[in-house]
Amino acid sequence: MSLIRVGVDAKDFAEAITAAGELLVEAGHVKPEYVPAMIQVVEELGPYIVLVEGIALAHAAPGEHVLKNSIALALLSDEVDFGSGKMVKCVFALAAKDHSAHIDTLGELAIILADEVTRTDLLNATDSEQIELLLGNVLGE
Amino acid sequence: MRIVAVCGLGYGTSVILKNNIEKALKSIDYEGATVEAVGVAEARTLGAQANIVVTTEELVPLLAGLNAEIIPIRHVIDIAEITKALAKALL
Repeated sequence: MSLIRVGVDAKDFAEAITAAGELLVEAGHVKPEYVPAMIQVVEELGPYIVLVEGIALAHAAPGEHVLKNSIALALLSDEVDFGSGKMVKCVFALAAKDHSAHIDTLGELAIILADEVTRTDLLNATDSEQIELLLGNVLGE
Repeated sequence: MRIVAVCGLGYGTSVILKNNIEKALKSIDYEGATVEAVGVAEARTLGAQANIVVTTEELVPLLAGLNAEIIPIRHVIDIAEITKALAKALL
């Protein structure tokens, strides 16, 4: 079950988050209710989940809708506005069973994304193999 | 010195922010600070005991009224930005 999808068409942030969230649903890692919960976070609190230009880390509160700790990624064909003009092309969907899950993985992800060349490569990737090479073992469980 | 990293839910963004605050503190040789990652709701109570609250620009209005010094960060993975802001506040 792939947790990466490239060339996703989305017209707004809700569709973009849904695309990444559906990968988690299809993999059986979250219940369908988790997807609207991720969208609600952005609706209520704004685009603070945009980590850096082009990249967002969508998630809802850890807990009941999550069946398995997991991270999926949707790369959009064209960037969309997540609010306040913060444009996003790469959406991570993060699912955690509790607050302590993924602490190490998020640290690893932060280190990977801190590198500008890696970010550019990620945003311009054309297939999931390229993304797998860039992100190592960060995606998945 | 108590530093609190705040995001919407206390999970995800604030964990990355906390990680990078710890790295930034190390790079400016600042010792003796504790760093916690919390959500906005928690920050409103816990923030009262914090010396510094680091958060993303969007969430600053939600933290109005806290006594702590609030440091807004544009990009939580930008260690250079975080280091500069913390150096200004701490050194």
